[in-house]
Amino acid sequence: MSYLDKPRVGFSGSDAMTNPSTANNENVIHLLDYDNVELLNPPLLQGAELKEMSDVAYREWMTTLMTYDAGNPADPAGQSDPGWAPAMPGYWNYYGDHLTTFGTAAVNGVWMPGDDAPRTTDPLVGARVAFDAKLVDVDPADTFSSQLISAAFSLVGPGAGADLVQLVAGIPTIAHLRWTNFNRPYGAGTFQCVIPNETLRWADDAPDSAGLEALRKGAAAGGGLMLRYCLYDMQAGIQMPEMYDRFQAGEYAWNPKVGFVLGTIGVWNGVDMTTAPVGRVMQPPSWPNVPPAPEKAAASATPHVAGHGDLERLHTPGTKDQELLASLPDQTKVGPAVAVVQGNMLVLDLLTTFPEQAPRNMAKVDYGEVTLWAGDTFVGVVPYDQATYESQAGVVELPLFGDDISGPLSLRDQYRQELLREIGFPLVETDDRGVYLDMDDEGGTPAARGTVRVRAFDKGEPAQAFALRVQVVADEMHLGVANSLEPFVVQQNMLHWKVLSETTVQVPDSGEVDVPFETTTAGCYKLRFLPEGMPVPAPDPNFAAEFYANVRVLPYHDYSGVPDEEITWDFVYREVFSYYGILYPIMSLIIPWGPDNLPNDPTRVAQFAAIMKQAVDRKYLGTALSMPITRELDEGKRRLVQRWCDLQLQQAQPS
Amino acid sequence: MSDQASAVDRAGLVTMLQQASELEHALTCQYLYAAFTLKAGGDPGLTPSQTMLCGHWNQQITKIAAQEMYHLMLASNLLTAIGERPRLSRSNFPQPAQHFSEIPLPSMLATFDAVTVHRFLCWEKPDVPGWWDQACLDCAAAVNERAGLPMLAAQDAPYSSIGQLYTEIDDALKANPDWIDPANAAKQVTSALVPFHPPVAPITTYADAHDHIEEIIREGEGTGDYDSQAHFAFFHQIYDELGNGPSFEPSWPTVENPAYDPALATPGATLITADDSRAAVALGGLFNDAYLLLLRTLDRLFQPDGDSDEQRQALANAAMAFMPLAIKALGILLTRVPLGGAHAGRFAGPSFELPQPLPSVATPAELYEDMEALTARARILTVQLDVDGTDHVASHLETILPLFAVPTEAVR
Repeated sequence: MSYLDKPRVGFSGSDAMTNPSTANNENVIHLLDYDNVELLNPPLLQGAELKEMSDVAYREWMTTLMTYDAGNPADPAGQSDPGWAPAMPGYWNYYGDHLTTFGTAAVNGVWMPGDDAPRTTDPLVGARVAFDAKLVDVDPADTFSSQLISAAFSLVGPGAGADLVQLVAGIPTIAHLRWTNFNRPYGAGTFQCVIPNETLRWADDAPDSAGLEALRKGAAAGGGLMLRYCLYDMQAGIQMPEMYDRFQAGEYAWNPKVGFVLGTIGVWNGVDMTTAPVGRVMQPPSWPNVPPAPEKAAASATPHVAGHGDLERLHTPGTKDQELLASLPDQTKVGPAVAVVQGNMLVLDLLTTFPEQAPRNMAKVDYGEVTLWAGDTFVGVVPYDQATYESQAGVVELPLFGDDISGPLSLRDQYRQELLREIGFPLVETDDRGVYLDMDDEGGTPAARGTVRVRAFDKGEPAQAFALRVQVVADEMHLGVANSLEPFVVQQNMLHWKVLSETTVQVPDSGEVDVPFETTTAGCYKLRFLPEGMPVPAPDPNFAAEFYANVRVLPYHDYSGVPDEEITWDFVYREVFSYYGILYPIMSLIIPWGPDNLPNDPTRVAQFAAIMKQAVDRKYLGTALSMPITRELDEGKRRLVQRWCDLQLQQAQPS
Repeated sequence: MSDQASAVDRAGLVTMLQQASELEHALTCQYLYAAFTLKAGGDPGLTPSQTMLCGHWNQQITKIAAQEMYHLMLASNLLTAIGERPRLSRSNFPQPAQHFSEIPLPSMLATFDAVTVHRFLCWEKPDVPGWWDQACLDCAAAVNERAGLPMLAAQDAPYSSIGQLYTEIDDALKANPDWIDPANAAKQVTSALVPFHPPVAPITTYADAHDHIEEIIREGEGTGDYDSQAHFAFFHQIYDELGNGPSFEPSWPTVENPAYDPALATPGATLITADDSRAAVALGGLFNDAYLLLLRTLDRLFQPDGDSDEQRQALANAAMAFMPLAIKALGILLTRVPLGGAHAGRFAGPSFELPQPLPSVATPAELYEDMEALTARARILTVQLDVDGTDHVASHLETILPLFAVPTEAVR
């Protein structure tokens, strides 16, 4: 069984929305010490000494207008870069609340077992796909660690009595960004999760839908439902000058990104991976599929995308990165694909494979006739046009006629040029893609320890024993440079990675192993998995195609020696709440902890002590209820907040 | 308090406490309604300084509304202390002038404007003679006339002020301290559940009850100390700011006393039908069910029927999260829903309609089922309606739904 088995229900929408708070996403001016989860005051910038600010002034400064000089490797000084863009220290959506939805996405096709095309007459077609999640980056600085922590998923459509009902509803597990394709307009990324049976509720008065019934029976026989989707061409609608005007007018304005969603709801058998597709993975014929080509000077041949700003620049007209992207041959812009053999059918998952022509022009780039090959064996013609993509949720099926398809799969364009090639090494995936660890001082030296369970596959089956090199990779931040203070113009920087260490882990024949991780330094890390058979790694990781897990190690703050009488509002505000008040101001609109130019009423905050104590509890970390939304509260500060909450409850007891 | 011995019997005390509860409850709804109608940044017609002013007023009124909720909770504790069920029901709006003052003020839901703030100011007027007496009589006459409600003759009022009502309650308890049963302390909602400020201790003696009553009078209705932090002073300041500042429309022009359920609508209510706005009817109904769920959750807190401390804490937390994320969010959303038909040019609003009487006390499991159904309905409305913000309300409900999942194994 695979994640592409039928029944499958496809859906699409053009107004998916994500509304993250962005103050921690851009670190051109260094606002944050990510490793220690602390605000930098004054913020740091090369070529200028910014002043220390009060919390009130800091929050106001976050919404001031400045200019980014969009730097690029070819022009590090920004002397000839045309990419000047209005910006803000708080970035493009300071007041975001992290909500992510599918908008009005609706079911547009139902694949039943045995069908060779999706049904469009099933009563499930047209049902709204309601999805409600919080977008949270494990590593706020980079673009490869986004996770969607969901509160609810449901299909809403007419029941047997024609009234709208929730045909099925449940709570998805955390979905992680995987298989990005930054060459699609404004970038694209896929997410996958499951909705376990324990949370699923099926409508009593369901319509006579074969698709719904098949999903229900399949889920009951397995572990639940599987939800896989791609968000693409997501654009923020408001330009910074307008945001500035709205902030100046006193509006807590939102600037969500809105774009397209396409996906599949299927059956999860309870065993398969929950966050990543498994099958015969095809990647572009570049690293890591082939050895890196040093002679090409890779750094300048392809745009570098690591931080959020890199992706923004890539699709901002006038920037060098955008020019570079536009100059690349279309053949290099294809994203990964997965193939699964089902009986006499080869099913291709092209969810994020083929790029579109331009923003809001969802016609696919024309590659002529695209064909699939197994070694030298022709398998079939692959439809990839917009209509097929949208009506079939990016999945196409090719009939097999007994051909030997054991040779490496490849996708080729009209000139038979290879667009994608099946990887020649084990697929290494993990459902522990976003791991949070806390530094602990047990044993004297603060350290964090944990494991990441990886599963390895060879052509979709558990891999035979092999050696897995594991590199620990950390962010390497570079300060932006002040080109001018009046007006405030900052040369953008780039996020890079540095390899800190490497170990080798033996993966047994089961294909599963726990990869240990240990550090004595808090920070944002990636575990880079380099399976035996993979070419010698390029120095600059390509996480759009590589295998990795994100690990966030939160610092150790010990407040255990602070006596109760010192754990006052002022103390806990300074140590904890001021960070959130400045970086995530939306939270102050619900619990008024300020600063003074936001709702600020410590007495009312204290009245929320019991619910705050509950919401910061570790047991809610994997839920949409968890506070803070950004999950940056380390264990020491968590204990401090809970202790303050306890004190409020105790102090509220009259003597 | 008075030195005279109270002639009030137990039934009379219960009636007075129920009246006090209904009063505090009605004030809470009226203040919240006005706060919900206030414009915010991004709404049309506001300059930046007006936006700041509206935000300031909103915080002030919301804070006063929270204190009225606190008073309702104190009154409920008093009822619980003498072995009675708290009175969480009340008449629907508008309510003709009742018996709390010689000023015949109706209780009504109205948009925030000078007239509304003046009415609020009169509700909270000092318990000593002053310029406000005539001003409030004039205000009451104008408001009653506008609402088409009967004016209660002054001599019909059994209390000269709200303060007098509380004084008589205090006198009755002072004369009959044994009506307070310490065994009921565990049913009360105290700072052990919610860190109220000022702290709330369980009522086990007359002295405890007296402290509760003093607190209500000090903060709000009927105090003679009108220069302090009392509600009168805050409303007076807002009234001055409204009157002295540049003329602008600080709020969305909602209908007065909206009603969505014909069976519950009282005389003077503005019944909103699908002809006026299908969205308003749907969201208005959703709001009322959310409001009822909140009251039933509070009702359960006061009548725990064997619930453990942990379960009561879970319910209290659910209620605390529900107020800003469901009640406030839906209330604000409704005041932005435009109406057509006979009410074209105006906007809807939360009606706070309640069935009479309230349903019987719900179990935690029933409360969860109600919350689950409410959440599902909100999600379905995001499909049925094209109203910005509905998605966020549904998301809020979906997010806090787990808070209502009170562990059931410990329920006796």
